[in-house]
Amino acid sequence: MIVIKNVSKRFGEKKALDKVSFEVKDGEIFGFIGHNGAGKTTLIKSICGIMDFDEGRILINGKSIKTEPIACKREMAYVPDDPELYEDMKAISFINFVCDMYDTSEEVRERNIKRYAKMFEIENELQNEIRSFSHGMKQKIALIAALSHEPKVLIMDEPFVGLDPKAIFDMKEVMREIAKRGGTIFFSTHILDVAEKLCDRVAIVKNGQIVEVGDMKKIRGDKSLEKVFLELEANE
Amino acid sequence: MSKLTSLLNATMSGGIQIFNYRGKTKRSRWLMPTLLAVLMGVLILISAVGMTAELKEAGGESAILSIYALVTTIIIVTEGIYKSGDLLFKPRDNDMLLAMPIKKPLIVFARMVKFYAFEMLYCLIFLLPALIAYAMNVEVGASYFLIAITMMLLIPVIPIAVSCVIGFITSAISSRFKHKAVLEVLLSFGFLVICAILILNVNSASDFDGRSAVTIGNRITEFYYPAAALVRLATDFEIGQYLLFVAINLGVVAVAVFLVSRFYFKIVTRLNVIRKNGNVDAKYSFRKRSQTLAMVRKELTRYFKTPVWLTNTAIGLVIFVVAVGAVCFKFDDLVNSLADSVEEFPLTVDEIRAFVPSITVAMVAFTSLLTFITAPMISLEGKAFNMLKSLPISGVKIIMTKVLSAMILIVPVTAVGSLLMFIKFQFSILDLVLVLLAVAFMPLVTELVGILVDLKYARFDAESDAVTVRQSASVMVATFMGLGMVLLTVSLIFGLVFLAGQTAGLLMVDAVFVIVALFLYFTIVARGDEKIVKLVA
Repeated sequence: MIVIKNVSKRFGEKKALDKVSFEVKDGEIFGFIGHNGAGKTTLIKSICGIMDFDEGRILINGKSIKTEPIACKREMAYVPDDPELYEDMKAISFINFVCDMYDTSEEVRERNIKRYAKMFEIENELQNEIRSFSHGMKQKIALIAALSHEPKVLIMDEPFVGLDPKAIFDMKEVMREIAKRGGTIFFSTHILDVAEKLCDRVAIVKNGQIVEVGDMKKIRGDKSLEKVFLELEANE
Repeated sequence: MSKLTSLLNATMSGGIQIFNYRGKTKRSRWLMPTLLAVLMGVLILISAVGMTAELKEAGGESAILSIYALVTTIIIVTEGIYKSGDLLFKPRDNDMLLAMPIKKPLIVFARMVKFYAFEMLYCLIFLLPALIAYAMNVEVGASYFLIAITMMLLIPVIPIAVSCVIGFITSAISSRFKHKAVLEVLLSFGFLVICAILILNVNSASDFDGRSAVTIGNRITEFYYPAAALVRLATDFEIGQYLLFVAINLGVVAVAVFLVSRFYFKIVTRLNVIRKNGNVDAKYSFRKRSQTLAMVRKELTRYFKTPVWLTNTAIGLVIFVVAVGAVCFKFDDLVNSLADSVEEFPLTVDEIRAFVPSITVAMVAFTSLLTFITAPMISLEGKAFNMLKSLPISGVKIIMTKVLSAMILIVPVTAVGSLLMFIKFQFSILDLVLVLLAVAFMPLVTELVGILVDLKYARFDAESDAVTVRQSASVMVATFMGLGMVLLTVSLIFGLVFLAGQTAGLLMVDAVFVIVALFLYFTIVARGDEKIVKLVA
């Protein structure tokens, strides 16, 4: 479970996040939607302990990311929007490196790496250096690394960018599977169709403020999510 | 705006990394690097003024100009040899520029201009003090100021062109092989050795009495045209000679640009080709490691796959190995040649032999305190630093595993060297223990300083690894600090050894390093997590 309470963050004069509050429950797939520069990545980086925030609280399964960062990070995995990984490492070494950080047992990592590498059709590429990969392949490696230690909370920034259609389909299946197990999925996206079909709840952020949050059905009503989003964007 | 101006504007927009890090205020961005550069320049000015006065007495004051012109050239060439390949062929904006309708010579020229802008720093630190010292000692006319400005602008041109051509040759050869990084390191070292041999040959080929700086200066003007032109124009200005000098420099640039740009696209393309392992039945290892071991493996992989970083930091270790060999096998010859070069040398070979433990510690100090492996280590994480921060590892552990990785690279070399000295010269076990303490704590202090400097000056968006490794604020500040630490430490070693005796002196030196290391370690333990949290790539 993720609890975000009155989180604010400034970059000089600009308020990137302004008293953002919402919760993501266990077993839920939660979409975070907003235009470019709305504050999505800033919030995601704050949740993951990558970026410090000025005010408010972020709790991961009851623990504060500010006061217990390591305990929080042990429960979650982060997939960045731009998969800038360690280019000099072989893919398998990188995934093992991430597993080592989480103290993942050899049995668990072997099972998961084999499973997800096969699912993303990349099992014959793992011995190659990451620098030789395309954007989409790097994204797949970042996803495998994130999934291989079986996180309870999965946080992803634009996870579908660069993935091929089959990988997007498989990724959605994995997300549903983790949520079914009671895990928490929180991701940002621009692809409203995906959010509409996949998310249990969404939050729409605009200029650092949450303008709408709730059940997908409730927010959408009779309209499409795209229409709701564009209407909210148009309203000043 | 012309295409070239726009291109130069774009390529220079990242600034010269040194003065462009994430400081809290505008002033803090440039204050520390500028102060250190000015301090270094002032120290060189003081030494140049004293040297010029002595040269004037000997009737050869213009030698100061040729000597410093050559020193500036040597520094630019030796540094350029291993970083020019990266700066020319590996900037991150290559794909974008190559996709645009820009002629390759323009791209190469823009890369060279950025390289040149950084090397001007060496002109300001080394050549400018010599030009000022000369003007202070000799009555100069108005033309001297024109010459001084021209020389400041043009002395780096030929060494930059030469090192760009060497970088081009290195990249052209290494790009053809699978293990490009290994080839690049070997070729860079090869060129550095050739450079060193040429310099040594010039010295030994000259038939002058080595003590006379005037003769050295004259000798330089015989084989190095820019130095000769500088001396000739400073003492007797002729417009024809002046224009010829400017034309020759421009010609050299044109030739270098033509040569490099002719094969630019081919080399960039080849460098981007990474051969993949096509084994479809590959067996992967899923071995579990501790966080510390996993981090160290990651750091060492990065180090050995970054030729410019490896070459930059391994030079000191290679020199240490050569120095240990020379001291072990040519000790008497070394002492005798030292005695020959100093009037009334006060010690005999056997008396100096008794000081071998102190000499060993001084050699370890010289190597360790100038080998800042950690200084670019956080910056080299690049954007992956965000991913690292999301993992359940503390900031302090991230920092300390980087320091540990650097220690793993340095300590075995200096420890084996010190043990060889012990075996050869049979000094006491107590002295050996003190030497080994220095072997452990001197690099520890250096690497802790290096990582703290990078925590303050880290930047994650450099256009290439060469910029982070050679042209960043953190490396420049660390290098200046290292030079200061070497001077202080070597003075401290011999001062304390002569005052308190060898064993007591070395014990005190070690004590200083242990205390400093502990202080730096506890600083990192206390503030490391907070510093890492504040850094965002």
